[in-house]
Amino acid sequence: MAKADIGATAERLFQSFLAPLVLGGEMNPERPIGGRMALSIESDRPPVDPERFSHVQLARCRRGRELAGVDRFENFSAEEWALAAVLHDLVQATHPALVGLFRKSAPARLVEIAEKTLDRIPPPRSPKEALSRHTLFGRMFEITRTDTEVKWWTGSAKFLGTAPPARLTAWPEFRRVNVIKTPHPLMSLPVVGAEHTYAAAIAKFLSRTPLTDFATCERHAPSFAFNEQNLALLRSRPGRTLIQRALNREEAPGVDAALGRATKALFDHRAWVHLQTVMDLLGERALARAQEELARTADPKPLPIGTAGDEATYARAAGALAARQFIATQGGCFSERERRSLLSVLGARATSDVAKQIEAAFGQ
Amino acid sequence: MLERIALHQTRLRTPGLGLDGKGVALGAKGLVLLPSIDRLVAWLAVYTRERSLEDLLPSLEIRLVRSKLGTREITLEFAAESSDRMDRISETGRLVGGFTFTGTSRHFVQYRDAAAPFGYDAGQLLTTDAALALYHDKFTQVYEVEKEIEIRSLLLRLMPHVDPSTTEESGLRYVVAEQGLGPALIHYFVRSRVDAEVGVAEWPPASAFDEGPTRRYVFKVPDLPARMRPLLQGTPGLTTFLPAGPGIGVEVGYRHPVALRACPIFDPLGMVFLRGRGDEPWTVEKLPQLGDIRAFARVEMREVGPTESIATGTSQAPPVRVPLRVVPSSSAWKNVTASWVSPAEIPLLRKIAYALPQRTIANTRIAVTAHGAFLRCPQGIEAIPLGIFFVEFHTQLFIPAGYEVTPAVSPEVLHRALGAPSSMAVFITREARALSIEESAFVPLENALLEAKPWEPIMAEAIERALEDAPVDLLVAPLGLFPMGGAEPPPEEAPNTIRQLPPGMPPADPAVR
Repeated sequence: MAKADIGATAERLFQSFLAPLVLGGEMNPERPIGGRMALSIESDRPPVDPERFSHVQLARCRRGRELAGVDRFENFSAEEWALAAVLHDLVQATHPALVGLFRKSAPARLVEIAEKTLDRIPPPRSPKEALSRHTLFGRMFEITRTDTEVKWWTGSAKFLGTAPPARLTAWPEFRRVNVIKTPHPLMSLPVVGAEHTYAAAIAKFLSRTPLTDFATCERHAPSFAFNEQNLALLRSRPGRTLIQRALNREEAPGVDAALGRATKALFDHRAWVHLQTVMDLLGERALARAQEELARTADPKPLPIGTAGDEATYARAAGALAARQFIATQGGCFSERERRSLLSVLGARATSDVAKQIEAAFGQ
Repeated sequence: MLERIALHQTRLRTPGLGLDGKGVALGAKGLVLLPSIDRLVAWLAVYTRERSLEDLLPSLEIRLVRSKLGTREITLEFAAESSDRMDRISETGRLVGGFTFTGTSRHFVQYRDAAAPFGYDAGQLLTTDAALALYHDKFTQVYEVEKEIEIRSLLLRLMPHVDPSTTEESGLRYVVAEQGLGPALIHYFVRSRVDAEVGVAEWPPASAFDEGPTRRYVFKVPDLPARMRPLLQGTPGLTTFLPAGPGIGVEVGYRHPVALRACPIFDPLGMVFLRGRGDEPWTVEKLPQLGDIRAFARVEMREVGPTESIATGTSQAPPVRVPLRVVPSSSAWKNVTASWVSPAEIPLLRKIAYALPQRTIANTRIAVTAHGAFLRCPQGIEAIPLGIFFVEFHTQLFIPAGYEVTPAVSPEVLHRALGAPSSMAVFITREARALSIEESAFVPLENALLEAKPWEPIMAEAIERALEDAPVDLLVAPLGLFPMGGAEPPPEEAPNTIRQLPPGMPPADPAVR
């Protein structure tokens, strides 16, 4: 592949896909890029349009400063270019025109190429790199295709991701034109022939940007699960701080449910080493929630654990246990009164049935 | 030899003689020929009786002249200036038996009279070297100047006439006391509480046999009491003078024949004391420094008793205050600008508010307190027929209408006695209770009347939209005939070349807080 093609491809990738992914607006991906080209884009390749690039960098700073005090981000690294190209291809796998008469397996092949390419892209080597990737791909689940169905007195037509021609919507009252617009998120778009592998490919993509994985843990598909890559980020103190901040931005019930489901899976697999890391996360989360309750009211009530059988209860109970353990072993930073208050607030969760089950499991 | 000047005559023979705007013959100078010195004095006396010599003095020259026949006469020369001035001088001269002439250098012709309203012209001039040639219709005479007469010395040599009426004149007086009488007179004035100033003047010794200069005390008494005047006039060694003009005084009991006030020839900084009885005047070139006579009063020292008596304590004067009372008054109401609406009447005020005119509502201010509502309206509060009316007794001080305060002190005194600051409005009730309300508590009635309506907040949508991320809208574009043409899998590599994250994370990156 010629060098000029790499430049043109990178520019096309930035203008049509990466910039809209960060800034919002109309995303107009083009032909699939492929793994070879994705891995060929160098790290020091700035986009041709400096104004749009500066807008992208500003938006990245805004998103990054929600989690950490960063002032600037470097140019896109080679891994980030590659990840952008892979996501581009994964999005294009949902293109309705990709399936043709002689290429019925094109979406599946594209997903396969994407997975192979992802195997060649390493996970982030530092929390900073994880944050940098998150600022680029944090909105990947906001990609939405709007399908339009136009009905008129003699017929109807459906337009996938494109606007209907003006002639079909002309004279709307006379022709009794009815336009129905239906937004479809990325994960609800059909991928012909790759229905089962598409979610796995997205999950593998998320493993390369673990902060995005945590920040979007409430998503329906692919379900959040702990893996080597996001646990690696969670083990470091800065990484865990970033993750806590990313999780606190989300609605608590959904986050608790996602974390509870993932934690339970670890329990089921008896991954005790990984569980210790997760318990730290849940404990800090529970402690922060208890302190919020103490600061909110002069007469704090014990935090409720939730509906029995709810996956969120698992995370809340495990978090309360971990927080109680923290107070008992490292609670010197609190006064005696604060300790009593915190234990009182966490008491209902730490003494629930789920908590007892978790204690029993650890005891065994 | 004189010819009357006719109307519209323009040609005159007398050198230096011309016609003024009225057609009157007039030279640069005027001249009055007086037969003797007493006529001169009479002229001065008459002239200065009506007007001042101030405008004449700069050009006035008085000479003693002698004719060829040896007769001595007096001439009075001055700048003619105008026929008006000449008319006045001529009239005065005619009164005292003098003749008035006009001319420029040596030749003077008779000034106009009733027979020649435009004056006279000399038909033929005398050929003479004399200093003066006077042409009159009765005579023509030449004169030689024998002596100049200075007017100041003339005035000083004139003896004042006896005039006892001056003893009754009031006002400023100067008293000149001989040296031995000065201290006694000072103490006399001090004891009698007469305001006066005193200084000491010196005159040269009258003869070589005198030991030194003659010293006299000069008193300046602004208002000498009448009871002292005979004493000061009758005591030898004391001479009292009345000011007769700037820088000159005449002894009391005498009057100078010339009105000296019309002769500003004496230095106002000095003093000339003209004495009667033919005594020479006392002249002080510059008045000595005068000091208040109280500074020269006799000083006596107390010799018995302690030096001072020190008070052992102080105390307040016994109070004489009486409590304030408010009593009914029959005087008419006026300045009724406030009212006190009791709490029970406030619902009624709310009902009346619907009937009040807009002007009353706009001008009225209200302060709602625990004791009720206080209303104030500078234009009059009667438009709101409710509550107890109050009269503005003083600024920010109100008493019930139809009542007055006893003791009947002035409003200022009452306001001061209450001690309320200017920012407080004080209402004195019928029970003499003083209620004070902060001025800031009074708010416009129109603001207090309307109840606040519930309002709906409008969110600033523009700001939210600016900070909101635009949705990511995926568009579907045509992919061409071979969409998968460039989508190649990555090149195969050995597994150990794939960069993997090592287990566990590296230390915290300082760039991430």
